[in-house]
Amino acid sequence: MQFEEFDKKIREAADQHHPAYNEKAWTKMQQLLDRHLPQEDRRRRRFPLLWLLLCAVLAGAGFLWLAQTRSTGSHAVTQTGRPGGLVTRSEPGRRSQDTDLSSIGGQDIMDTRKLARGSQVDATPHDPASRPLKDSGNSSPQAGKKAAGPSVSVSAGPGVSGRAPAHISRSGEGSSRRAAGTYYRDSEAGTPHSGQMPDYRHAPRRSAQNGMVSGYRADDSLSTYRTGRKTQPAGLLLPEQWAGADLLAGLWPDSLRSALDLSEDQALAFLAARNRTPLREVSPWGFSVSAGPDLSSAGGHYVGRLRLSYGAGFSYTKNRVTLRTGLYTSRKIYSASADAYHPPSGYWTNYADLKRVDADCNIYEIPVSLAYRLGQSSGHSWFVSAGLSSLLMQRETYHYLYKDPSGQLEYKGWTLYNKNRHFFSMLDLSAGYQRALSDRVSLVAEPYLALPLQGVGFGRVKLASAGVLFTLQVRPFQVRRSGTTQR
Amino acid sequence: MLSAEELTVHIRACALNTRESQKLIYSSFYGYAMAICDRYAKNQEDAVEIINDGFLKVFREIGHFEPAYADVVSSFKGWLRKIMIYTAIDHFRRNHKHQLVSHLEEVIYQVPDHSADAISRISHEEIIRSIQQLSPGYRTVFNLFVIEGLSHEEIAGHLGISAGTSKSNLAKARRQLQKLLFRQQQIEIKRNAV
Repeated sequence: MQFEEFDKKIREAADQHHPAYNEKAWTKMQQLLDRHLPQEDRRRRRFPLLWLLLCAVLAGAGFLWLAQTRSTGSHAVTQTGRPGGLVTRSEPGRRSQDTDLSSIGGQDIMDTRKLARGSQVDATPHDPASRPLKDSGNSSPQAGKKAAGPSVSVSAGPGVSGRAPAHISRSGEGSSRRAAGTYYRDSEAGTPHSGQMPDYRHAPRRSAQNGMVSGYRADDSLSTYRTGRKTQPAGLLLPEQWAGADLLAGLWPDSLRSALDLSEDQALAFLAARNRTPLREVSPWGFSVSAGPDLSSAGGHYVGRLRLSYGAGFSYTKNRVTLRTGLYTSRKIYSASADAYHPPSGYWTNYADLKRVDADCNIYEIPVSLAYRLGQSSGHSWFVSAGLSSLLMQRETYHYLYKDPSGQLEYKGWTLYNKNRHFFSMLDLSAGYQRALSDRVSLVAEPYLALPLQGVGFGRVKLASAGVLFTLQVRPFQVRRSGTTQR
Repeated sequence: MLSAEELTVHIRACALNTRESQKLIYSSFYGYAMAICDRYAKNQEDAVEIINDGFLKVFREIGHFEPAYADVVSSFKGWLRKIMIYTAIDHFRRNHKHQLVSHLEEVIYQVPDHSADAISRISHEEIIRSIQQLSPGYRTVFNLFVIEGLSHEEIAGHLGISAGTSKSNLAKARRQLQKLLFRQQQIEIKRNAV
């Protein structure tokens, strides 16, 4: 036997040698790929972004919630004895130099401590404009006359402030007592001191940040008063302070008005100033991030695999109805029988005897839905929703299980990218439960069912989905309340 | 085997490190690649190591793959074959270089005529297994010369040996293989006789 023949025989053997596929070899290959060409990088890049976004939204929501809780919690707002009731603010441990009105949640309040300080005529070293009130001689007959009138007191109960009640009173018990928070009047003229009733049209403006009234400090007012009369005691409450306190109730009792000797116009001016207070409400626009398990099925006895669906959206709420849309992504893994898979005509040239199609698709989903709120109790609500979804097929991988002409069972797959878009191809039905964390932040659990209106993907498969979407919804904006005049 | 269109799609996906497509290409060309690696390996385990190292190179470089001619599948096969052979050579150089025999005078060995009929009755599978039983140096030179069609100079260049050593190894490989095949045949005959 010559070399040539021998070599030819060897080459034939080599050509005819086709080892069968070994899944164990792929397992080793996969380990090698994971070590040298890790696929997780893309996911790892994507997931931190997602988590970052989620954390940012949660942090924002938490901040809003905390801010609101602080403003309502640390300021114990109480309204007592309408009319003449007082909303007091109790802030133990805090010694503010501001001496008058504050605003919480759109309501004017009066700092109890300041009132107390005023009533006790306690001039602090930080308040050069203030000085101890010992000027009982300033009490005037007029004041005494007024004292005979109806007693009007604005007080903060101990339960509110945790301190001794501060009284702003006008009583007939003597001028020395009158100093305690009494509205100080010019005894001679019988009119408000200096004859300068403040222009309430320029009533204090609120600071949106801390709710404090800016440009309307008692010190300033006192200074103004002092210009008219050097003996003007400091620390006394001014008419506008009274007004601010009393108007908390939205009322202007005649008794108080007459006691203060205010004209009706002046009283109305207070009310006008009160009404000009900017009141804002939460915007109907909301933003949300959602995530939840999603299960797909193409019918038959095949059930897909559970995968995470997530995305973000926004909404507009009007009365009980909310219009919602957004962009969600999900991975649909399902199997379809040959009957359910309808590729374009002329596609089947090789796979005549198709047994099953396994699909693994990445899908972007754009739902547009209307939700109707059914019921609501404090912090809870229930709704139903219906809408249509558009599907954008980002990646479609199909594996065909088929028998080749020789009867051998084969399994072959292929992938296509960004080839199919199906607008309004799914009917979305859902019902949900919403739990409000604050007036701006809420959590929603929403089981849903997505039914196919048309086939999707390369095989036009009637793909149905079901799952539960957990949503964090935030309504970060404020809008002017209707019917309120903005200053 | 994948169609040209499917292969093109999956090559593109592999360039994006898509595991599904990598698996598809791996499984589709496993038989083809393993047929090469089997001949260079001592056993199945070594063959899997070579094929996986080869496919790792393929998946690393697949983004640069451009079909040399119109038939994408054939182009890819040629490229894959080349990579597998070079990987096998690397594998040999890494593990068995010391087993290469030194240069010997050129000797022409003739295969005895009585084995001509015998070898024709040996299956392809048995031939491949016999090749695997060759010593690593002989096996590599034999494969490169007889099956891949490389010249002794090219083999010498790849393996870092002289052309004479390559010739010597080839001659010894042939003799050893003939012995292996003949012995197998004898055993087979004896078995049949019983």
